[in-house]
Amino acid sequence: MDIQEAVGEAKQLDEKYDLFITINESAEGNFPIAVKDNICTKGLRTTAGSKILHNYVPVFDATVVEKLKRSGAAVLGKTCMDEFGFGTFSVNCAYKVPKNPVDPSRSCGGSSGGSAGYVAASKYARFAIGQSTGGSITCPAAFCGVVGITPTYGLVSRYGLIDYANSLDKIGVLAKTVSDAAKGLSIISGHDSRDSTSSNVPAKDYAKLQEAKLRIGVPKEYFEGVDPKIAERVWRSIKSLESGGMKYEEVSLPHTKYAIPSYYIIALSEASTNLAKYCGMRYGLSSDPSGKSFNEYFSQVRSQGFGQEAKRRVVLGTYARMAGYRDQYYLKALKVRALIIEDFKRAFGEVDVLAAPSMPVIAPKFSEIEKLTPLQHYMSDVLTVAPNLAGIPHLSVPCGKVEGMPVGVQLLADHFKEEKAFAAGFGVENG
Amino acid sequence: MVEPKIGLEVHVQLNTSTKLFCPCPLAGLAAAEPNSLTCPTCLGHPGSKPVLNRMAVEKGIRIALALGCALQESMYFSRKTYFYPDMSKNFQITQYEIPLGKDGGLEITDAQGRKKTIRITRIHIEEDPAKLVHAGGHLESATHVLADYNRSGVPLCEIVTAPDFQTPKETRVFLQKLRSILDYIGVFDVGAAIKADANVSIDGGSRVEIKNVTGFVEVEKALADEIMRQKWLADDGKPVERETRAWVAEKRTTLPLRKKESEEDYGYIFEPDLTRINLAVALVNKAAKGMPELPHQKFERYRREYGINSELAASIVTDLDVALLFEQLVRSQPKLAASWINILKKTLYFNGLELRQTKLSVDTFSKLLELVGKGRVTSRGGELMLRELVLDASRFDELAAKYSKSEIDIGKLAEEVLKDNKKAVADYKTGSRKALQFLVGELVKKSGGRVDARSASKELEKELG
Repeated sequence: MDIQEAVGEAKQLDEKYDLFITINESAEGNFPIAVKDNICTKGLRTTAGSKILHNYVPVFDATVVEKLKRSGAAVLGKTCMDEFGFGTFSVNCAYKVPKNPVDPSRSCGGSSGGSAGYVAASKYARFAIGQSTGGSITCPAAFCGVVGITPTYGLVSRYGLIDYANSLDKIGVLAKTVSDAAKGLSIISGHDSRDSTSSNVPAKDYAKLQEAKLRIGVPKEYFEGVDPKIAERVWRSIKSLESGGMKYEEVSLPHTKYAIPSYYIIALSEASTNLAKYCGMRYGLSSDPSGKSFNEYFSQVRSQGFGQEAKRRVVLGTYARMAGYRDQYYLKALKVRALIIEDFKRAFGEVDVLAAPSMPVIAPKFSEIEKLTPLQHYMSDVLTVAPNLAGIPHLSVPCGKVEGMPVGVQLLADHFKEEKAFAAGFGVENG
Repeated sequence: MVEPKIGLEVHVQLNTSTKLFCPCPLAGLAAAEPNSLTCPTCLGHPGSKPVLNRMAVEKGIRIALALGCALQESMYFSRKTYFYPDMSKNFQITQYEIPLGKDGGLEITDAQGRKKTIRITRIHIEEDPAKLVHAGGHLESATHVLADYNRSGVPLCEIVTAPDFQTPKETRVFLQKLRSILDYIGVFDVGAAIKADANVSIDGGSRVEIKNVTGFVEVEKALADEIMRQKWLADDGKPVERETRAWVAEKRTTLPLRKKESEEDYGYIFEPDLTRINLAVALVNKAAKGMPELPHQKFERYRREYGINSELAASIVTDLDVALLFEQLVRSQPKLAASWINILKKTLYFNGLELRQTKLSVDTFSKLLELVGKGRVTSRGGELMLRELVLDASRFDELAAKYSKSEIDIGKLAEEVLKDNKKAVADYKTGSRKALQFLVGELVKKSGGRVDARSASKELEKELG
């Protein structure tokens, strides 16, 4: 493959859909790869979608980028995203707002919107690198009609990932097919001593794994408030798995309703500390400090550099961990997280894979998103935050269309059982 | 008046070979070019991650064991968030809810000679921030500030005591003893400074915290100054406010930093980049195995095995190097070792030296004791040799020759002494013992210590007939 052709295509797609923050004209390698802009690429500008890092050029490659380059990948660009991953629709962007290639008046989903849009539109790319904290792979995969794998927390090294919420962040893959997603994950997974949360569980070659007879669980809580046309598509996939010889049963994940508050408290508490380092002193956006105390200077740079949503999340996260609130918010949320993990562990005692809608709605129009309140924004993560809190692998696979827009089914498996999610995914794909 | 209540938070730098969360070396840090010993992690770059230095954990466990602390089953780190230019991430990775060790103690002797235990509330491990250099003077007069991140991420162990001290002097005794233990267990370079924050209240009044005091002498001074300030306030009928003050060593006084009401809220969360660390039995055992005999254990053993008096035993065990020297000497010179270690300590003290600063080896010191033991050099001569050896140990052979008894014609010296002291000779002949003592003294002096009093007396009596 001529990489320059892929670069040319990326530029064209970018003009059409605003998918890239930075395009790497001098990309070299055997196959093209696009990487979400919160993953460090040595010598290639990495902004995490924020003005505060508008000029930041990393001095090292993230482990996943190292692995990709070693496998022959040409990093041809850094994709658009919500600032630091703070969003569900890729509209909280300091640069460009990516447009859904299926219908450019609609959102790609977030926060890995640029990566999903690129995979959906490109002739050359088999997969791209995304990252999820609370649903940022599943959501854009479902909205753009591509496959998205969010692996078990710890399976893929976070070294070089610009932190949103470290206990939740996972690097994963957006791909054309389940098989491409499995190949991509095989390349980037594996232990890394530079990330202390990286697991010692030996990496598998997911690409070699095929269909298997699985017990499917259908969590009833995941169909509440879901667009009935979407629910119908998802049920059709489940039935197709059944006709392929798999059995399904209804299960319950009773703590699901607490997932949103627990997720936002933990994620924003961590995020508010992660963003503290951006203060105009060592790198990134800076300003003239003369005549100012360090506090005044830091505040000035942060006021200029952070977007509205980043500021909102810093304020909320700081509040949740302050003395007097810490017990009832931050520490309580940690306890709820443990209950949510127990829910899943109990379910996986009975079934191999859980099947549910990826998102409760199809990709919304930008005009609709404008009308949403911040709380409605947060509520749209209702189906994705629990698997992310639990750190379990989940795969979103396209399962038809509603009103011409793609719909996704998500397949959840127990920790380090990615192969089961992939096996169910093959079933959906071929069903 | 109720005795003051004083508590300490002691910070010691652990002598690991690399920083707490990155592979940057600690060797040569003090002399290194600013910001030359840094990496993305200790500079807080986006995408960097901390990786815990296991050696620091092991050394922390040793401190916990030496101070009798209960170890927790698991180890966690937390983020303490506040904005300050010396913070590479604007949060410090430290331990909060669950420290490494809790509820220990260290025994000291108070001014009345009574033993008392200072309770250790907790010990934990944390990273040091960068060093700020106020260009053009101190905090107030500086035109700008330079940040040196070489120090960023250096491992520290914080040791927190209960408010069990009643006098500033007790804190010094405690810190000296603590320093000696840390040296014994090999976790701290005695060359490095011990830093402490101290809190003090009098008459059950408000607690005042004094920040950033370096060295145990300064801690004692700062506390004495602060207690005086609080007493003056009390004498004037003014309340002592709860506040944090800074010790300004050059001015020998504390200055207000902030009032209690404006004290910062650090919004602690668990450090999500570091997983729970299981303090498995194996890790604790490994650390325990590396634990040497501690000062108080050596003290008891010296008293028991060598019958040394407690004052001398206490003096020997304070300094690990001296204790190790003593243990080697006592094998070959059981009779002389203790008294000569005592002489050595006095000689070192007189010169303001520590044993490690001299080049005096066990070998050299053994040879010296051998000369004395075999009577080739007098005790006095040996002492004079030692005075010069602590300054330059390479002169041993030359000094041994100079002070050797065989190098001297004692009869000739005695003759000269008698010739120069006719009055004393006359007195002696009238039966004065004092006159003989005087002449003996003169002879010892004239010999430069090479003749001891007994041989001098014998020789003089022979000469005088």
